[in-house]
Amino acid sequence: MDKNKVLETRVTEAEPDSGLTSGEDQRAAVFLDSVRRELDAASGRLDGRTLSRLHHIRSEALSRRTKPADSERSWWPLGSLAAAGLLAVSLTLDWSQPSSIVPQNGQAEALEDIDLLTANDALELYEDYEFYQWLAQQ
Amino acid sequence: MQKGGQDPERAGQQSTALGHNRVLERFLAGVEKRAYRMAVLATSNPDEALDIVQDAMLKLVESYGHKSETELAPLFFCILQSRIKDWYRRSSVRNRLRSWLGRDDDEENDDGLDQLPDPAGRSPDELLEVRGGMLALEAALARLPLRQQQVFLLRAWEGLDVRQTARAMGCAEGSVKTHYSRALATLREKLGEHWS
Repeated sequence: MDKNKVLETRVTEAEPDSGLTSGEDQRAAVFLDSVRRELDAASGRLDGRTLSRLHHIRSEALSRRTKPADSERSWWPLGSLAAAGLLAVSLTLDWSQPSSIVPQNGQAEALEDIDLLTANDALELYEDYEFYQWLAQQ
Repeated sequence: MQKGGQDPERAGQQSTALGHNRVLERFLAGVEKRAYRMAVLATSNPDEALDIVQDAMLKLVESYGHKSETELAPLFFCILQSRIKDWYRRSSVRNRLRSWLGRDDDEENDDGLDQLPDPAGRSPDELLEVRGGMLALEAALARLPLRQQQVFLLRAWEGLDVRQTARAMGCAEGSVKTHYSRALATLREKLGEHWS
């Protein structure tokens, strides 16, 4: 974007607060342009030592961004091992869990007994079981 | 298995990271001198200014390195202004302590460097002519209240708009407009003879 255009925009934005007239706007724009050029020129006159320090600071900062990525990569094998270990443990747990939940042989019969004992209406049906068996054979 | 053993997802991530690094490098290279000048104007101390710029760059890279290019400028200047404010707070405490202890730093810093002649061999009058405008501008900017100085530099020099400046300064857009117009009026009054 053209810097002069930016400058004019900035002055126009300040107009409602500053109460500047159009002519004053132009003078303010010229003034701001001079200020900006002066500041740019001063930045261009920085001495070698300062420029070198700034370059070093920038390089150091950018290396901080590269370092975490490298370190993350170096942790990948260990992370993979840990993940594999976790997976193995969870699979083991998944295999062991059914044995405690799903009843085996005698355990299943015992559970059925409990169901029968706790259901009153079903108990009456079982009491007349022999009668219904005979009825079915007729 | 991918051809050549190259995982496209990983390659894409690396490419994105490289792209971000280039964007960051370009941004920091473009802004470092202005950031340094702003910090010098605020602190009047080149070494402190370099430390402030360093802190701001490190913070930007470590915390916001993944942000898009358009977001970097307001974020960077937000960090920079925050570091400058921190420096101001620390200096004011230090100055209070010094005044209580009765120490005068002007005597300690009187190393005679100000008395050395200009290396280019220019006379004081020539130097005044060349540097007069900048010296007057620096002096006028340095005398502005800190917030006015920061708003003015961000708006007039760095080219941030009102919203971006408000974000960088952590204040309302109305405050930015007020600070900016006051700074502009003061500077025009002080520097009128140089740039009217």
